Amino acid sequence: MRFSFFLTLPIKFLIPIIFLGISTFAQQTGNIRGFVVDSTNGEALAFCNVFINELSAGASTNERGLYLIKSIPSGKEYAVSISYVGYRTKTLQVFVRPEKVTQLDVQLVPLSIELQTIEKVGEKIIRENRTDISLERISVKELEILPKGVETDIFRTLQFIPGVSATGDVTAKYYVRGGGGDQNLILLNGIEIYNPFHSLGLFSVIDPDMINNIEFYKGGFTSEYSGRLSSVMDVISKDGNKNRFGLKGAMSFLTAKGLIEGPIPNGSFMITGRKSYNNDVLKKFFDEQTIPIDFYDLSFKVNYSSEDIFENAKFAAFGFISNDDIDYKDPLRERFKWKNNLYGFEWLQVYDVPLFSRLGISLSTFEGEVIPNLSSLKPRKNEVQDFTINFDMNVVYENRDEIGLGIKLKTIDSKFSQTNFVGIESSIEKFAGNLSIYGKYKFLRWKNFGLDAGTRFNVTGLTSGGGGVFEPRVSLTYRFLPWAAFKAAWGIYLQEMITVSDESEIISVFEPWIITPDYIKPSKAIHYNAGIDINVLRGLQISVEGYYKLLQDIPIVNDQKFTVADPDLLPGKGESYGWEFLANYSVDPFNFTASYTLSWAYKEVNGWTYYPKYDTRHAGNVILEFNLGSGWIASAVWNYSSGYPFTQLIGFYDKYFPNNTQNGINESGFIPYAYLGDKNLGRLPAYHRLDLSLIKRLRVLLVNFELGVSAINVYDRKNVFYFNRDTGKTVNMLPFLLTGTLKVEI
Amino acid sequence: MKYCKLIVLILLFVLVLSCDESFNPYGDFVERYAFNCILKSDENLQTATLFRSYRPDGFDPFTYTTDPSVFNADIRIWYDDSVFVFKDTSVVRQDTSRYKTPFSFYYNNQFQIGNRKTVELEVLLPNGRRLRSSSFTPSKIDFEDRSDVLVPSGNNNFIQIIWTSFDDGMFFLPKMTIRYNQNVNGRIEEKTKLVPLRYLSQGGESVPVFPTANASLTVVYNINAITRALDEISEGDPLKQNYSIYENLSFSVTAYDLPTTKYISSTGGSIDDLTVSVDVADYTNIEGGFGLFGSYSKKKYNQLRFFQNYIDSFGYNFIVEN
Repeated sequence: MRFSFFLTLPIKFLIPIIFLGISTFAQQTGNIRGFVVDSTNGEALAFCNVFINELSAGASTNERGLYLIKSIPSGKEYAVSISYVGYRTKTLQVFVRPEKVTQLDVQLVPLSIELQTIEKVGEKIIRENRTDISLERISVKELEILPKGVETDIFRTLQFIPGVSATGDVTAKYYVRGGGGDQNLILLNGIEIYNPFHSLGLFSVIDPDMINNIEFYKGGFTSEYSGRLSSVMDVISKDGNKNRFGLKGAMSFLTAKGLIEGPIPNGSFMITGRKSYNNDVLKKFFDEQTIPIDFYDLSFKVNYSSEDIFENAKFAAFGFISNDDIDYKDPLRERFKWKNNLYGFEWLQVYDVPLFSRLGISLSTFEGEVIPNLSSLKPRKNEVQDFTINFDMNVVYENRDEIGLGIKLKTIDSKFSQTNFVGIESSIEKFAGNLSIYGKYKFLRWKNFGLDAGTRFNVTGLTSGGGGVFEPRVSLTYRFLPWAAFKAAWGIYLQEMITVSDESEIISVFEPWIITPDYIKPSKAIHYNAGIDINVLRGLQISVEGYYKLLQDIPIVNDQKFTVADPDLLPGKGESYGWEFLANYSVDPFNFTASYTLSWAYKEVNGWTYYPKYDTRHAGNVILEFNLGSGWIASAVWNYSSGYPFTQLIGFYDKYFPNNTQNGINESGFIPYAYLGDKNLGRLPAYHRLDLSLIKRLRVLLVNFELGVSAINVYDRKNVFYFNRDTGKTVNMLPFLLTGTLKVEI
Repeated sequence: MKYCKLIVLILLFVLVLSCDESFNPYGDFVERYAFNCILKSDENLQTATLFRSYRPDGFDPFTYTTDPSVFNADIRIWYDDSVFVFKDTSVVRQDTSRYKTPFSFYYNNQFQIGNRKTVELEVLLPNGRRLRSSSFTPSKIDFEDRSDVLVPSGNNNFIQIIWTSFDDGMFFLPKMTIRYNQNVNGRIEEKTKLVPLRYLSQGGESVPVFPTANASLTVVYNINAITRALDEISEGDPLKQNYSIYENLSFSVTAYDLPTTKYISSTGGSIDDLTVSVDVADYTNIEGGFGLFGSYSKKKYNQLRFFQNYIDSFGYNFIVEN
């Protein structure tokens, strides 16, 4: 206890200062606080609704299942309803004492698999002034229902969100509102993953079975996030079953995986593992090529919480390893290897006064390597070691306003070496540190207006241009009608870690991460977002959002690097804008979602403006989920996008290949060579496909089974992936594909 | 029932859209011209080629069999206050599998280039269009005294030759040859054997690795490669005394100018077999066209010679030179 007192002393000292001047405004009110968890396994339920009908007031849980309802008139008892998708709504009577925090931890009981419906009690009121423009919250249940292209994948599910695009079926790499692929921050339990892909980019390394919840910002993200220009995906993993030991197993045509979880004294644990066992199915993705892809991922999480050591504290240790290997077992063929290792420790503290804090210590490493063996390829290697300590805290005032403060220290050691085509070795190595702080004020005291205004300040940067830089950000919501809210966000974003990725590569094996070289400035983005949310009818939500994004000093691989002296990267500019429309209608037993995006994206380098490869003018999705009852769930997804840019073929000329210039120019040195038009001025045909899925859940004795069948590209649309100018062949994307999965849970 | 109707309607809608669209990757054809000329420092005969671009009926360029050579162009090169006009000519084509006509090219045999000089090009095509370019010839290279002179070099298992150049980042191509005489039925034939840097074992076979143009200012030959090259001279012939090896090895370094360096770099090779790259950089310094206008300068290193005992160990004769 003494130790606990010592560690929490600085925070306890800070609290009176933060509350100075506020307490005088305090009324005779009280607060209700608590965690909402699943009754069967103790997993936190993120983003569920806690609502007091009498007051028409409530809150939603955060990503760790914690909620706080402030300024409740005290001295009486209230009925508090707690509701969540797929769970039975619970109503509890709570007496609110004056100027006290009443702890109300709730366990929600999941609906039986036959009866699962969607309940959204009180959602409309809770969302009144939430500053959440461009934020999507994705539950694992949503992931499971949608059709699976071999594996359930969180990145592929993102592609159904308006504003998110991909360049083909072969890659799960995504692009957000005209930003590049390396401008997306991917956090797993707050730790950055540098290469989040298995199998040449086909799948995410994050196994959906380990996920509790996902928050995805496609722009306008607030001050607590840093380091990327375009989007943030914040994935929180499950804690593990706190009530009993459990075992899950699943198989697809590609992988086998397992999960073990269970209680430990004062906590829980979870261990997951996934391994590829057969890659025949991948031929469909790679134009019938057999590629010996072998991968696995492993993760563990241990939670500990004891009132004897730290009151209202929770500790978690987390580890994650992903490993990919493409080994032809042929000394004449190259070998590709890449791996991520993540290790983290987290201390969550809830204080007696309305204040939460989180201390995170993490190490994230990435290693990627091309081993040429006896092939004609050249060796390439990339290593990144990212050590981060961050401390965030949040104070909620009596008037519901909040203050968020945080500090982050990050050190990065990046090494990249390669030998180019003609044997020139180059190496980019840098060790640097970034110390940044942020502060923000959330003005939430008015029910119909919310404002989140703050800034990050980079005390020191990873690059010489990254220190002393402010990143101000503002997000607001104004509910001008009970059923309609105007939302907007503006912000400046800085990125200093980049990939050396060639835009002309539509399948890229090796994308090294480096700290931005000193000869170009760190990349900067400015986001302008505005939109309207409409909830006219119960179950119907419509949102319209517009965005404008400016990108400055984005690094673009110099395709005119022909000598050692030429720079590897050139500073480019980018601009993107568009409109996104989303409609969702949920009425038992249907859930219908339709989205449409009208967008433009441009890049400019050396004064030449072009469309990036992921620019598509029109994109849309229609998703229909249908609960057939008796454990049967069906879904259909139709996906459309107008043609992606490509560079047109103009003709051929006989090009001189100087294999042996010392013999002079002679007829044998000439080979036909295609020449192209202006970059990305042509458009591929429109892309569309229909996927269907059918899931059957059943329970036999003590075992839960889930059988899933997905039909991908049902009408076998020949979507063009690219034109191979060497062979004259048009390579199509995924043909019709039937896949299946089996899950067993004990 | 109404839901079923809705689903059927949606399915019909997408099936209507499912018909495959034809895809033509070609843009509008614009005829372009490719000019190639690498001026030499070691001989007077300078050659150049001039071709027009073409578009085959399909996507296989080898189905296009009309000779794309452009005749009657006026090609002029300005060098050292003089202008040199190129004439067109042709030679019998070795490979007639695609083009049946003779191989056409332009030539001038009245000049060779020196170091660090400006050269300018203008091509006036018969249709009135012009191609222009210019370059700066490579600097002189000097061999360093610490370069090896004897083969083998003491107890070292390599031979290293080092040079310097005023130019930075340009490509150099080293070349080592063994000169020897072979007695073929009493007739002496003078021959050369190109020496690789080293041999690699690939699939149970030994494959020679020859130098390629690169920016390094040094080259290292494995002594085993030289030994192996000497062995190969008489491979399969038990009569080793029919072979006489010259004491001096021939070693030269070709220095390329900047455009040729960039051109060689751009034609260097592929990334790997899995990466799919849809655009490839195509370097040219021909204003208004494709191709290359460059130059090279060659320098010989005359110090390198065999140690007689080493040659004797092969059973060969040794030809001493002054």
